Amino acid sequence: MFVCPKSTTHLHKFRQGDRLYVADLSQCVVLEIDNIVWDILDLCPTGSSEEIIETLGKKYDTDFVIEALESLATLEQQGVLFSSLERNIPALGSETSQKMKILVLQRSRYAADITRAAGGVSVAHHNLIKALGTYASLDVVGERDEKFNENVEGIRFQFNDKSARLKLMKNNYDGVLLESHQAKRFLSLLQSIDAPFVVPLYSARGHNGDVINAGLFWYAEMRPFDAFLVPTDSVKDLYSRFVSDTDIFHTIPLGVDHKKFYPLDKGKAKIEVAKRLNAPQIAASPVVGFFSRFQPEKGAGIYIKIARHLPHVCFLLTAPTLNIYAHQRLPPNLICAPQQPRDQLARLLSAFDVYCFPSMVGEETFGLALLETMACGVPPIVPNLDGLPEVVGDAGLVVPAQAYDNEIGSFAGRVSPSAMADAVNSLLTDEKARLALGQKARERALTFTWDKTAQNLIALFRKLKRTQALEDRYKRHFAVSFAPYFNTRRRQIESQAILNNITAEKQRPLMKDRYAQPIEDGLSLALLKKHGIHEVEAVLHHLYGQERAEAILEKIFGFQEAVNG
Amino acid sequence: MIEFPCNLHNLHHFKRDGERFVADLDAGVVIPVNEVVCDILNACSVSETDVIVDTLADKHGSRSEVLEALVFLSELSEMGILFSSDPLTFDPPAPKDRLKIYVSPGVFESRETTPFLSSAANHHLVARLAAHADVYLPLSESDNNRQEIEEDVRAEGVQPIFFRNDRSFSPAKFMPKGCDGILALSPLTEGEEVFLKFNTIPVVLRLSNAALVSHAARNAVLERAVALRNFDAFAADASWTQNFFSDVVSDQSVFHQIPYGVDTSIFKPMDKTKCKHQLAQALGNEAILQKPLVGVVQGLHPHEMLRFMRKLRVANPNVNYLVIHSSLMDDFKSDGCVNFFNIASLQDKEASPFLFNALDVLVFPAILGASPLLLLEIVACGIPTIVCGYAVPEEISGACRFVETSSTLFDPIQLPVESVSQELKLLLENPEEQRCFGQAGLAAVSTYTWEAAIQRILNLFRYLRRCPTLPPKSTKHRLLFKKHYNLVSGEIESEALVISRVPTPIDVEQGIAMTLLDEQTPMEIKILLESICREPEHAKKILENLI
Repeated sequence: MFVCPKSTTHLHKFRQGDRLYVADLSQCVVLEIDNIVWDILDLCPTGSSEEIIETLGKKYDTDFVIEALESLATLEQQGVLFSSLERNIPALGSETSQKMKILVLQRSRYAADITRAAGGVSVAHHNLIKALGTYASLDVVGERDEKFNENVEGIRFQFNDKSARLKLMKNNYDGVLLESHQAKRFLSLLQSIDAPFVVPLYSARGHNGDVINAGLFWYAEMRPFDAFLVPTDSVKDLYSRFVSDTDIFHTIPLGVDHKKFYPLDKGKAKIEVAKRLNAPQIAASPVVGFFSRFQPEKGAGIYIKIARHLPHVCFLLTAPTLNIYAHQRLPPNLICAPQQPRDQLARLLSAFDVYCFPSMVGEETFGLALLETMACGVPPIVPNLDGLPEVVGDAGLVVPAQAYDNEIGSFAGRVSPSAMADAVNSLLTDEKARLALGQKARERALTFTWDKTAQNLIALFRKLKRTQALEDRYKRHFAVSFAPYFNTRRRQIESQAILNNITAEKQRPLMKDRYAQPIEDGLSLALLKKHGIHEVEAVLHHLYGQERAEAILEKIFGFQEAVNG
Repeated sequence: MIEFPCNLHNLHHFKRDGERFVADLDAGVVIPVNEVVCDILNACSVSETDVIVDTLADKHGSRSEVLEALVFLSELSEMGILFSSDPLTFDPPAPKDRLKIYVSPGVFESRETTPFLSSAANHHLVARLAAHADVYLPLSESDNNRQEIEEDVRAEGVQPIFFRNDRSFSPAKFMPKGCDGILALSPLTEGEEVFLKFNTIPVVLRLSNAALVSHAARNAVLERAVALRNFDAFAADASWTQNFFSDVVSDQSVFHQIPYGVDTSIFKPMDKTKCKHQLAQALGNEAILQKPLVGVVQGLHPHEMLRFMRKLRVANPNVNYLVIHSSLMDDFKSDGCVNFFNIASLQDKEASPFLFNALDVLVFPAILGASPLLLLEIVACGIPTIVCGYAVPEEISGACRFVETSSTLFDPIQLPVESVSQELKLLLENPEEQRCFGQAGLAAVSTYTWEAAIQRILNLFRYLRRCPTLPPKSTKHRLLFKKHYNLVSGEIESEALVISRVPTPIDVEQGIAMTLLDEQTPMEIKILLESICREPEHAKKILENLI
């Protein structure tokens, strides 16, 4: 039942012809209503439901009044006309007005609930949201209107709902942050939300090409004031091989939660873990750790081979499941720890003497698990692939590995188990070096914090906002013709493009009325009317190859700069 | 950008706490808007985009604000909000006989010779057109003798439209409301392409055969031919012009023939001896009386013309030649031989008939560059004619001797001197045949009246107005051009994606064609595709799919 009295200040009633309507200004919705609802809306700011029924009962059949009240209750549940959660409008204090307002688009419906996070991307995203909440007020798109904390608010959004889109348009966000570039359904929002988008590329190669193709999809749509967030330069380097606009990539390293990941006394940690897992050899021998999903892409097979190479060493892995490897005979020196809650991982990771992460090419743009292990003071041994060396720096061993540069979509490299085993062995036999590297790893990890990531991201949003402000809101477009002409030198009929000195607004800004051009220039100018510069790049790449495409684009870009101001 | 006028949804405006809102009752959506957007919505169902921009820019003192509001509205329009996607249904214009025609003399055409147009023929055409239609003519505001010009123009029944002569002037902005068509008197001046862009007013481009003497002019025809929309046309002033373009302009239906009229009360047979004496006097040379006089209408480049004349004189020395130019501007001097004179067809009606009547025979090259009006006027004086050219001019078919030449659009024309001189000899030796051809010519020319020419123009405009304009939006869905990684080949490739519920990849060339169809003509797209597609078959297939 609909409970009154209720405020109707956000509603506007009006007649159009002989029909009655009510507009909900906070939800951007218009509904057609009948006489009874019209009258109810008049009464409900002051009267209780019973009083309304009594008053209107004199005018209408009481059953109809109750029915109308029930229909209002249904609307209320849907959040239309009356929202069950009264949104508190933030007071315009000096502090709040400086804070950026950022919209977060994510896959998960429960915005800020970090306990549900699993897998590198969601861990990264949730930590980032948490840290970002300090510097910005966030609207997180989810299933329900919900307040997660002071600065993080969940908002309802459905794709096929025009009014929901309009609400996002009208909210005047300073920026939009995505959880992952693979959520391609959010692409269409680029058209409606007039704020810089930051799209993270947490994965770049592998995954059957899906990730690279999703990235290229975003690239095609992105405007000059949008950006890709990449955790290491390796992603930018990869993309720079096939897109021309590399300024769109901004390297912002991820962080680590130092409250959860810190070194414990190694001896004690080993004894405790040995006891809990009922594996006394953990306390007695050197331990080579593995902390990731145990699957081929993460180098599971290679890890097993390294274990066979070094039978006297204890290999301790922690993973949600052993996958296919559960069904095969594993070497006796390989011990599996069940998955630990994230708060208790520090103990297990501290028990590692070295961390061996033979992940395949294409999997790690950063290596969040690597950084977390380093934060526990464990020296890492990684192959020289993708973003791993950038995170390790000089605080671990980087083993040469083979990456096949043209294989972007599938398994694209080779990590040698024997080379990894040699590196592991060298570190295990040299205690002094190992301890020094462990200390270095810890120190290096301390420089990566989520707070820093968040600050960098805010700085990026500010920079993009400036770019957006400088961007020509209105671009002049000239009429372009394509025509044959007789080339008097070659004595044959050829094709040309002509830039006519007339814009869609019927202005004539140029000195001459007609500029003959090569076809490709005219084509680019004609396409720019409805398509972005990155799309034109794709067309030119197809027709003329990347090198010429870039030369043409530069020329066209120069012309546009000169015309618009 | 939205093109106005435009159909609106069922809308309701209201103000709340000083903030303005618009409710779209069809879409069920409320939108907070600013004052500029409100003003646009109020105006946009009746006015055109640039009118709205101009008036609102004045009102709000900022053009960019108005343009920003328009961008905002087009975004909404793409979401299907505020603007209805139904094609705009104008009330069918009430059938009226009097058309409104905007005459473009070429934006920068000088007016040195006649009060408002450099060509006398065009002057006649416009003046006579004004008797049957509302004719508007743009004139420069900064002209020194503006007053005088205005009086002259108004005396002819033409409405002048004065414009500021600044760089940003666009004639398209000054088009009178409800204009039925634009008559561009010469398609060969720059700036005329503006008429073919961003509007749906039929354009008739006058194709003046005499002006087609240069490569640049012929290139301009090629260029315009692809830019014409299905409701535009070329109006050729000579029957043979089209033949030259038949190989290179694939759609021949864009050519229509609108020959000039001849005022037969002025151009008529007169006493030949008297006229010869007058001419001799005018040229100051009695030699003209001693031999038969052969008129040759100029159509070639001057140096080619001189070469032709030299050969003709050698082949046939016993006559006098008079080269007749269509305009005063040709820089053409005789080389001093006694039997060779040249004269510019005097632009005033007074002298021309006497000049033409002094001729015994006319040699006319039916090529690009020769003036068809001269042909009609001379034949109207009863002069027997030898035509050399690609085709017998329909205008006087059966009333002339014909020497065929090869048709070359861009190569130097070789007029066959031998045959021409042969024909000349035969005709001069046979007075009976001269008389026959003269009579037949008179009969043929009598059908070419100014009245008929004007009616043809008006009928052409009426026909074009009935042609359907292109659909405003050819592609319903948005297209996205993007690169993608081909796993199998390991290469980055490009594709066009039709963004709909189920995004469909199509090839880039087809995407280009689809996206450009809104603004380019099918012919332009054909030219483009032919030059970007690696295989001609591919281009052909896309075009077939498209249209």
